[in-house]
Amino acid sequence: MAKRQADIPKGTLQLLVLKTLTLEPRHGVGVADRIEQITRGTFQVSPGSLFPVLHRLEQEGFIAGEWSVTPEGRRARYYRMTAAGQRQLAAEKKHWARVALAIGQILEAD
Amino acid sequence: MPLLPRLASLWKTLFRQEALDRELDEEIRAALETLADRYVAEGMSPQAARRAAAGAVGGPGGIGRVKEGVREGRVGAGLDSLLLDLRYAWRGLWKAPSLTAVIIATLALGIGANTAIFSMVDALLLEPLPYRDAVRLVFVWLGRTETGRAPLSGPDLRDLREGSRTCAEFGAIWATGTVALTGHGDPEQLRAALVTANFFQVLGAESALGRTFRAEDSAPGATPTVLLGWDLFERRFGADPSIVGRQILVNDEPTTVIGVMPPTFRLLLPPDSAVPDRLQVWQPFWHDFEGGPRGALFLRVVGRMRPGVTIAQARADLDAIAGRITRERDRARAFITVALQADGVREVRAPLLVLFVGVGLLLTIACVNVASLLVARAAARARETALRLALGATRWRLLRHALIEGLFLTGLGAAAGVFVGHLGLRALITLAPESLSRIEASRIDLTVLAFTLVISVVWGLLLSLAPATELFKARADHSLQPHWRSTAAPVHYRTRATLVIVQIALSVVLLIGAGLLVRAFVEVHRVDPGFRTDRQLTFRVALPPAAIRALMPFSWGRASYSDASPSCLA
Repeated sequence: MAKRQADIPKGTLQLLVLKTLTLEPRHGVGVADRIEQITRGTFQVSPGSLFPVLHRLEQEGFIAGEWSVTPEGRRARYYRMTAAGQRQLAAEKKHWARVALAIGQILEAD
Repeated sequence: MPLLPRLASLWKTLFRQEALDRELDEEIRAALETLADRYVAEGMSPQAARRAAAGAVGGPGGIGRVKEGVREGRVGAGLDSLLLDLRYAWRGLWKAPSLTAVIIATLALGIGANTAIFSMVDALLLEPLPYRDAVRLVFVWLGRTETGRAPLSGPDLRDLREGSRTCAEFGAIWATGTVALTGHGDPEQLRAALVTANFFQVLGAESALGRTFRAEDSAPGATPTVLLGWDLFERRFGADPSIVGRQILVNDEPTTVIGVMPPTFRLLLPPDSAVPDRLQVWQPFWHDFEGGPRGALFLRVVGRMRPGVTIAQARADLDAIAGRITRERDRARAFITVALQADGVREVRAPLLVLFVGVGLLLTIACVNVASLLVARAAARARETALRLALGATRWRLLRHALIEGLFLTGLGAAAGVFVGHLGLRALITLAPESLSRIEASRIDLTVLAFTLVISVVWGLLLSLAPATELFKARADHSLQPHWRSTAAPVHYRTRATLVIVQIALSVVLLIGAGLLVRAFVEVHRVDPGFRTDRQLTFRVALPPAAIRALMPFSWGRASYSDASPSCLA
């Protein structure tokens, strides 16, 4: 387990989930793996905490879920990015960049 | 945010919930198996791997909490639980059908009475008269010390027309009684009035066919003209538009029909102006009617104020004219200038408002009654409430349930109430005195429905709060104990006692009011007119002027009529 583990800032989980789905469709466990992998273990998410986010995103039409088979031969629900999801991701990235910049400015200020 | 997928999701949340839940179960099981596979590959025993997978997926709250989280995040999840509450309320009401029926009937009577009376208040006091810019219409009376108020004379009207700065025009009408229509089918007496040529323009009323009067119709030597009411036009002339321009015999005189007033046209003048609202024909005044003696009071005068003029300004203006007449002609004159709208309901305004307050009290009593029934039921349900609290239902959830139940009940009560109100209104309209014919315009329209909706929602909320106060006193633990009655009972009694006190107090007020009303009514009937009113007949005969002239030489007094009718003694 990584020593530098951190909680995911509130409200950003949706952004991270969307981002992991840009390249290819993944199932819930796959999304959790991917977040852990990119952040080299800084963010650890349990698949359980992902399900509400995935389902909400699907209900809002940003991602679409369909049943498929994993490389290990198990059935799993794979989520794929939709066009609306791409737009949403772009918007949220822009928003996050603004927030990060603002926080940075506060911290840099004397 | 894309609307279409959200709507689709809402649909699924509300109506495809089981399928959604089944799919979620399957998805979570698949995730568990994928993780367990992985842990086994890392060297765990299958059992330990399954446990570890469950821990990883469920987190601290467990798998159940994860599913809950997904459900709560769904589009329209709040609505879904609302539907659940509605279904629950419906089942609760259906389980006690007699109680539900009593509650709905009580509410229906209370709400129905209010709906009926409010539609009268709306039609008589709130709705403007059905004329163009009716707020600018004034009615002018002559103030008389001995008889109160009287119509105007011809010279008065002329002075008003010449002297007024606040009113653009004055029109006048005189309901003369009846005229005889002969020549075409059975002879008939028609309720008739003479009007100034501009009378209909002053009111802002247009004819449905042909035209209304013009100045030349009153000119000396003009051919006689007549304007027909719609009912007569339809019944007597078969609604044939070609009647306009043809001649009919009015009082034996060939008279040209110049137009027909629309079926909706009503003459809504003050009841004491003695102008019936359902006139059948109108004719123009003779040309020099303004020149008559100042003592001949027959003109019912309607004025139209110029834009921006207030009734007070018009009153001051007309008072000045009266002052001038008094000075110059040495004849005391005083005008009473009133808004046509207000004067028409002068006599019914106060009784109607009293009635309105009365039915308001009635509804309050009905609702207090229902509230005490609901409190009694809440007491009977105390165990169930305690159980729900113990099982983790929040008080807010229970309160919402109580509110939904109350609103549901008042909703049903209001629906039944609108029906009751409709029947009540029909009965009231048939009972209404003839002078109050505007009452026939009262109907359950959108304004009235909005009123019904508002009182229903307000009372629905208040109703459901009564049993809900019990909720906040109830505790999850003690009501489940076997002796819960002894601890819970005083609380219920206090609320119920308050409700009963309110109910009795209001009932006494209403009863006293109704008693006084009946007493006044009885007193009025006891007044001795000074002569015997039983076995007396009154009647009138109207004949065309020519027929009267022909009959006059003969005796046409009492004796000849009692000869003709042996059942009459005198």
